Amino acid sequence: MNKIPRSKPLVVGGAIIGIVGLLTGCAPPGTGGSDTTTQFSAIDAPVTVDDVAELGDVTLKVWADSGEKATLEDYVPAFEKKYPNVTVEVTLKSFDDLVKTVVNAMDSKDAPDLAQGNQGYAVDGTLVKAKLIRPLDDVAKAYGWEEIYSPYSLNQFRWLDDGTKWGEGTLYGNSPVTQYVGVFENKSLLEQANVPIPVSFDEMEESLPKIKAAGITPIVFGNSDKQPAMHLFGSLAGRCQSADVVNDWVAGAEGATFVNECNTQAAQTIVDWVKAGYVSDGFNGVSMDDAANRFAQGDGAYYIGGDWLLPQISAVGGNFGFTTLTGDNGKRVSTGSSSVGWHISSKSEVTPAAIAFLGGIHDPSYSQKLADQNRVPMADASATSSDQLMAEDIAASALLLGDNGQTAYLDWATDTMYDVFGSGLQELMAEKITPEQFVEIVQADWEAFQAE
Amino acid sequence: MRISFHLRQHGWAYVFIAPALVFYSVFVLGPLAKTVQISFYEWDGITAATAVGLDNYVRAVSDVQIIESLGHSLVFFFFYALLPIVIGLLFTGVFARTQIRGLTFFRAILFLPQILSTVVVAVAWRWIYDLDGPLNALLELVGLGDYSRAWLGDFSTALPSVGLIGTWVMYGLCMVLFIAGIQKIPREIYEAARMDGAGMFREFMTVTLPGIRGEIMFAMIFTVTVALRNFDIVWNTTSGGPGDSTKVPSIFIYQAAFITRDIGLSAAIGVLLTLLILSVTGIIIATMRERD
Repeated sequence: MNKIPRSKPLVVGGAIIGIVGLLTGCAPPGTGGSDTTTQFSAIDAPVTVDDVAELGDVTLKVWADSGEKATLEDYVPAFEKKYPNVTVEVTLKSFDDLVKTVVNAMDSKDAPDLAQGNQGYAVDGTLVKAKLIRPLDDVAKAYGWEEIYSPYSLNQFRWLDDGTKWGEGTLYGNSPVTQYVGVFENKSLLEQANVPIPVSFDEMEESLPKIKAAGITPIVFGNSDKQPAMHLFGSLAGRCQSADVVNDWVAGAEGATFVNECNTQAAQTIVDWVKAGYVSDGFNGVSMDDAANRFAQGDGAYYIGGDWLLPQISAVGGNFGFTTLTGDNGKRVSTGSSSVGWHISSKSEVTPAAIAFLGGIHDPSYSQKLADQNRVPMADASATSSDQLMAEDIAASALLLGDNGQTAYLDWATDTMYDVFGSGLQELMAEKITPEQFVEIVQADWEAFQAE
Repeated sequence: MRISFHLRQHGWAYVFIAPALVFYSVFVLGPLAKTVQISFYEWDGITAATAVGLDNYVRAVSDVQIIESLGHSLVFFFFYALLPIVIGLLFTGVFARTQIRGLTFFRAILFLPQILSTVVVAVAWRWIYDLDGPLNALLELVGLGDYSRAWLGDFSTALPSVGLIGTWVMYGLCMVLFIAGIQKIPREIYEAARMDGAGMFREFMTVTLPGIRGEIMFAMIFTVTVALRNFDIVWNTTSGGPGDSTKVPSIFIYQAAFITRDIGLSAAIGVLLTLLILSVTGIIIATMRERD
């Protein structure tokens, strides 16, 4: 190898330092956020076809979660027929991709006019803080959303205008469907174990040893992606406290604490169930989807999970049921939300079209279509499904909402809570930490966040 | 005077390296400089950033989880770097003596893991390690059924299991490098060694090893950097779980950048990781370099 001439490293080094200096001397990153609230012209009545026609020939850019596929395939052609000057351009993204890209997309020059976000500080909170989405209080008033949708379903899209507090303030989004965590039952296996279909958590807990004695796995479970344990916890925590207590804590209400008897007991129950062998083996290595599939194949009696898994379980075919169980006071409380919310870009130039789009999807007249698409609508309680499992889902949802029992996803509490809670539960279930330690760890993260 | 003489002598050389240098500056040096800049701010990626000096660096080095993740990276040293190099050397020692038929074919097969997308590798190995997967089936077949478990879900086996995936990916590269290296060693030296009565081991230590010193150094640098910065294999198999048992620094970079939107912290961890890798690489080069 030739000897490197002495001056060369100096030249290269100088170039590097020059470039670094140039870039470091540049302006700090990010655009300056103004102190004024987002400028927009409020509406006081539903948008009419003429209002939209005034826009001329326009394109409405929509970004949606892939779970909306069936809905949009039905809704978009009807919308384009009603508003012939609008062409709707849909981009579907998987949930993981959506939450990681939507904020930056909404900040770009070609931002979509309508986009779904995700409740929580990382996505919705940032969208609000950066003033990328349009407040929707006027839309809610014009379309009567406050009469149609429950306070909880609207509050999860409320934010203080600086994005620092969730659960109160201006409405920034909405969604017509609800999703929640319930209990799937394999009715054939329950019959085999000679156990009645449970209505309360107590009954379900009593059935576990009997099912195990019959040689059947009581609860099919898979937690490699950390979410399912959070859903399980959310369900158990709903046995002994009201949804309001949980939601206050998630929203960061002053004086709220996670360290209470109910949460500690829920954590203890999970550990007890694992120790007693009521939960399927090797769950840390099985994903949520795989566990749902195993349940659908008949691996066990119960599967505690979200109703978004219902289509894939139903597709396998079998004698399944789905319900929400009552807690200590006979009421139902479980983790749930309005799926992900629709937001209108504050930079959109076709806002009337976007408002009309949302107005239609959220209207009670569309509820039955949503039910036909295997989703649980909230606007019209009389929507039904011909699929038996889906019908049970809708019925159970009505009971849950009727008890005002939906609690927010616990990881919405802080921007780091998803990992703290998820990893914490994995350690709890491996008996590396005690239930008391677990609730303390969660509360510590919450307190650190509130202090910011 | 010196510079103009230098340019006259080597002017064309600069013209030829200019495109590569521009490309490198724009796509590597530029983002690197930008990352360093961002690391001194608190930024959510969209709104205005606030200057916080060394705050992000302090947070990075005082976070217990991040320190622990460095420990996990050290475990990966063993699996991603040491083991593949040792395996590579072992096989090279054997191959050096024998004439192998179809060497090209074997080389291609051994190199395959390197060409595969890491996501594909991760998904395939998740299936292999699955509770109902082929590894457990094999164990049960040979009567070791007691050892079967969810390898990636068990707190005690998750890290080594991910490590072994790294070994699988890297050992082919090492082997190919070393085999190519020994082709350069003149046959005469081997004959001379044999005539002096050297056995297989002696031959390996005195002829093969020194002969492929350059290749070993390159393999060490490459595998060690992968070990320290690996993200995709870990993320796509365990996402850092169960608990925090397979978390490595690059996962914290990802989480801070994309999940909690703490871009400044993400940049700071990135800079620290880069400095660490550069130091380790420097040590390797210093110790392994050919003494001219």
